[in-house]
Amino acid sequence: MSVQEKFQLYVYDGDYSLPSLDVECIKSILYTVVADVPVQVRILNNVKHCAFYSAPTFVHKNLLFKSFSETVLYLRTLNYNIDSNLSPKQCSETLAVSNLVQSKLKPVIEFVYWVDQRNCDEFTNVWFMKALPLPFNFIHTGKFKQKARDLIETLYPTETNLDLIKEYLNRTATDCLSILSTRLGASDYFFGLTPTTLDIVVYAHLAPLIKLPFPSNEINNIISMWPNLATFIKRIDAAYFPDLPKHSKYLKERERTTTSDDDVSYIAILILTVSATSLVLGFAFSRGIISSKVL
Amino acid sequence: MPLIDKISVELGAQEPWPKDVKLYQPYEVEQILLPDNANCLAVQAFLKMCHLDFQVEPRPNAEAMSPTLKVPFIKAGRFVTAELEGIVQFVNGKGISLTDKLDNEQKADMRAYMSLIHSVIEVAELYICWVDKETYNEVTSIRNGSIYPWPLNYIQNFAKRNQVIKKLKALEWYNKSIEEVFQEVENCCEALSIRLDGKNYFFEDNPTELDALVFGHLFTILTTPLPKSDLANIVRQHPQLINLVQRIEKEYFKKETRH
Repeated sequence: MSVQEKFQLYVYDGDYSLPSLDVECIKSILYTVVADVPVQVRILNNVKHCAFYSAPTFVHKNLLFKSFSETVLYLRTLNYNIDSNLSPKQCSETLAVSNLVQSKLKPVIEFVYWVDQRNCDEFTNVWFMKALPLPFNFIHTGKFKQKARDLIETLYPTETNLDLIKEYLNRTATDCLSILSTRLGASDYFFGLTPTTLDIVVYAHLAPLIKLPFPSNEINNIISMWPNLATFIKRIDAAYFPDLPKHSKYLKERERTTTSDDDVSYIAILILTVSATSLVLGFAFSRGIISSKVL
Repeated sequence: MPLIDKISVELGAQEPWPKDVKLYQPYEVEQILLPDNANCLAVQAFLKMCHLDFQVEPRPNAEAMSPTLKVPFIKAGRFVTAELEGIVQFVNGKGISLTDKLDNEQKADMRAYMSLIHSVIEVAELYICWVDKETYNEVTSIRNGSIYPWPLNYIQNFAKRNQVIKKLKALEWYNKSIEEVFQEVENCCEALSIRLDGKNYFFEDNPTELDALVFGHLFTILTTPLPKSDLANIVRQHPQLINLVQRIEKEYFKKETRH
């Protein structure tokens, strides 16, 4: 038991009944839950964790695995394999469909999270700023934004109009979702009665788009065109994350920021007053209206 | 995928396949690079599978002429369409389709495998061409620079390399070691080979655009001499895929030369 207790998984915090807000972290957490790995999930919410680990990092003794795929490969060597019952053909399909999901839905997620200005300013950025400790919230959000922008730029090098890019992305997402829906059909999971890696990948890419309260998110409406995908997400939630709180840990702060117009103007007034007085005093002082002897 | 393509698909549907269709691509002998060549060949194979006439038109600046900045692109009458997906849609718009007989699930399968090839084999080809130092110095820089005069070839190579590296970074492939890249390709070939499962084509007896795409990439990998022959060796370990490639070559490309 002492060996197993040393499994640790460092992830970004979750919210809105999501285990984490980061796609890769969701994958790692869900895999460990499904495969029954006795792992201790740690959240990047203090300076020490943030300084030493990136998310998701799987730690066993002194071995570090910094991505989902590495983690899965390592867990397989320890006999935590959830794909062991699949036929070679199903494994081949897993690889193909998870690649499809990754290549079509990842840009959509990056766009909705970080490139869409309104979502980023009003939700994503605010949330990560609150969830991470001080110096790291700037570093991580900066990195996220840069990465998302790079991805969108390399995918659409000829297009600069964000609305058009959004339309293309929505179209590819629609394509991909209809493929997933056809593949899933009426069954519980993609391959039979137990979830496999493919189910995990699909869940990790769909759940954030469904659950997070983005100010503008058209994908949510698109997903609701395929009810079997929505029930698929609910099925996994019920089976593996039954007791995640629905209400937000950071929502109260979020509400304050949305109604914080008054706060901002108070600060602005204060700054203006201070600068105006100092300007007047400085002018008076330099012209000798107030002499230094008086002061 | 772009709006213009959508319009040309809708408008072009009314017209039959014009006679003077031209397929623009870079010079095959001295200029073209592995990933571009694979995509050009895939489109050629697809058009041949549909029994549509076209002429290959080599241009040194084909890439810059293309509406999506990627080769190849076709000019059919008044319409210009680029890349395999766009061209497939354009051809489907004229009522010619290789996937009529497939049900929805098979179509879904086909799209998934096509995206697998785009997101693994194509990216791996880019990696080998532009990140691997040996291949870059001996093949890529010389071929890519061949159409420019002296100082410009260095500048163009430099700019293009930065652009590709930026793309690989965004796709999270740049930090992979070359062994990891080969492993990805190996997994992908394995998956394709299993999916093929001894059949003539991926979907029973008739070829689809997936077969065209697989042919384009694997044939190019097998026939392009590179300083590192690992990619070709990986493909050679899968006799089923080699058979598929040879079958398509015999069926659709050999006839051409005899006529």
